[in-house]
Amino acid sequence: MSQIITVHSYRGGTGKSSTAANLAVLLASSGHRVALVDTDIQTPALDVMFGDALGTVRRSLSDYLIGRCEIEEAAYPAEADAGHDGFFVVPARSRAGVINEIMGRGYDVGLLREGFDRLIDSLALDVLLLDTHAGFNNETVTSMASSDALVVVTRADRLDMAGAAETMSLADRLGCGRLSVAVNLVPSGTPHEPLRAKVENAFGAPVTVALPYAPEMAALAGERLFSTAYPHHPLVAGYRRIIADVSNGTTALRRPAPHPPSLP
Amino acid sequence: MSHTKVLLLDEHRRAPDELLATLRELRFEVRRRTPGETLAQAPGELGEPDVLLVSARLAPATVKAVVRRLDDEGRQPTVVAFADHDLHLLGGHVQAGADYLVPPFHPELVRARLRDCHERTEFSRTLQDVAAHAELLSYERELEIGREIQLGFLPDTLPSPDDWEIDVRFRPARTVAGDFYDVFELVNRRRLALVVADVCDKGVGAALFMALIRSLLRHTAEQSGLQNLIAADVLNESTVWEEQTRAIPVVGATPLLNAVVGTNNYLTRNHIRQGYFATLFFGVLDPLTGNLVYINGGHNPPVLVSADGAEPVLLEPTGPAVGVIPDVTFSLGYTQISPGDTLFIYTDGVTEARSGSGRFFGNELMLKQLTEAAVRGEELLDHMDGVLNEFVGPAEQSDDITMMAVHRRAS
Repeated sequence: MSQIITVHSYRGGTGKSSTAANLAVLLASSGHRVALVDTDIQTPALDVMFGDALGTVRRSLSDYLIGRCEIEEAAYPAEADAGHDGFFVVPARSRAGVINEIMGRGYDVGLLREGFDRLIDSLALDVLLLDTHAGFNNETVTSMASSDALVVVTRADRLDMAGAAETMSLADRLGCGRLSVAVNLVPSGTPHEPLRAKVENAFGAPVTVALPYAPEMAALAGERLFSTAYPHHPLVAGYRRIIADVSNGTTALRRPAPHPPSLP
Repeated sequence: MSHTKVLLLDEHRRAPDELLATLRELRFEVRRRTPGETLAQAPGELGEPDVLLVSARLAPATVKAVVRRLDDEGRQPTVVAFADHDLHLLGGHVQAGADYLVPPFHPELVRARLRDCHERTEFSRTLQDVAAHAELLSYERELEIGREIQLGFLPDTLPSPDDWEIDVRFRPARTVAGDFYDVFELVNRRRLALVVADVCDKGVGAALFMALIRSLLRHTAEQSGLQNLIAADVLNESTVWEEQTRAIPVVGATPLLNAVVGTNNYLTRNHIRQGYFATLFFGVLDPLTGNLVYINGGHNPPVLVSADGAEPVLLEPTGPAVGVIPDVTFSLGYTQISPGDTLFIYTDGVTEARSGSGRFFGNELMLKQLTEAAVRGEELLDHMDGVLNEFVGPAEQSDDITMMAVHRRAS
């Protein structure tokens, strides 16, 4: 069974995209066939994080949505990050002009779900990981509604948790399946239990993990992925906890289709 | 004018002897009547006068009554008023449109005068006829122009995606029609819109609304983007998508709903008093998978004829006719056209076609013909056309007939 996992946060700056990227790489490194899709058309991040693998982006999710290419053409192999040929990144957009077109004309929302399904089929994926724009826009809501599991990334501050009730209510209505609440950027020395109680009270759901603030992450300045640079850091252990929590138990490497589609 | 028939209208038999003698000399057939006698006479007993000769002493209104009476019998004689002494009495008659005759009543002068009057009347009558005929011609020309313009509201050619055959038969009952069909690409050419609709009523009124409804549907569908429909509805806990377990519309559902709901709202807001509405079937087809999402707005259920001989599936209405109920909800229907299947979309001109004896073609016969026909696509339409022609016989086609066959070739 393939699985769609969405990583979401109510506000920006919570470390959502970093979390999504690291979860994807960890899943891929453990042998799964994974594609990571940047659905954040307004403020994309993955094209920078995976810049080495992507090179000059010519096809993207946005190009697919406005009819310039097929979704499979926008999936870039990122073998170096996974150690095998079953890891792909779909960037949000190819160039600045696309955003004008997509914001001005709009697109058929059904294309998102159809694109996700086609990626799973044609790339023979075990996991499709969706990074989202903060808050609730069409891409985010559609991603959440398409998911089998939702990872909510939040900081333990009042601003982030103000959206907890709304997020949970929407997730409930959309039927997002497994849910994992990850408290991110927790300063060292924060007492664990009061933090947990506060967040669980706001979300009405158990906290999966409290991810420590890692100065090393800031030091990397986005040049490398954290889990690659510091595979034994407690933060990476925290990512693994999330994976264990939302995973549907897929452990075997899924065989690619006998005749995999040709990719750009 | 040797056998000219004259009806001489006079109240007290006071017509001048000189005039009577002249009429006799000219061998005119003369009947003398009072207005009272004329009006009291049974139809057909007034003869067929060429000239109505009236005494100027009669009131013009009385003459008018007699003229009307004659007109009822299909006679329009030349009306000529005569006077002997009281020439001033002629004024009122001339004003009322009559000609006049004054002494001396010499035969040659009277003959010439009456001939002039007659010719003048004939001339003006011919002129009226020509004007009326010209009006009719211009009306027919306008209608012909209307027909040509209406054809421009139908697609020139039908798209033919790989593995699909889409064919149409369109037969208006009159010069202009209320039926229409449309096939066009949607969602960056990833989908095909299929529309068959029937505007209530026939003729020019229906044709005008056909042009409006077709344009609203197509324009809205083609221009329909994201419009935050999904996000707004989901966040507001709206009920639009609640029928689906997942809250995401399939591709094509957004333009489809926007087009039908938007057209319904436009018609009910702006045209509800005119009483025009349309039943329609609007489907959005994915040519790659055969998946079809549709709205059936009070339309005859299209028939999905299966390749494997299974019972045909009817795509029943998912909402009312468009343009009747303000703010009504339309649901989406879903089906799949498998290889070898044919979707037959039609208007009620098919099922309500009448034979010479007044029998309807009907659903059962249509389904039987569709399932038993061994042909598909264009040939199926030829077959249905032939069956309908045979059924109707020489009787006049009473309603517009539209048939669309959407056939997926067997792989």
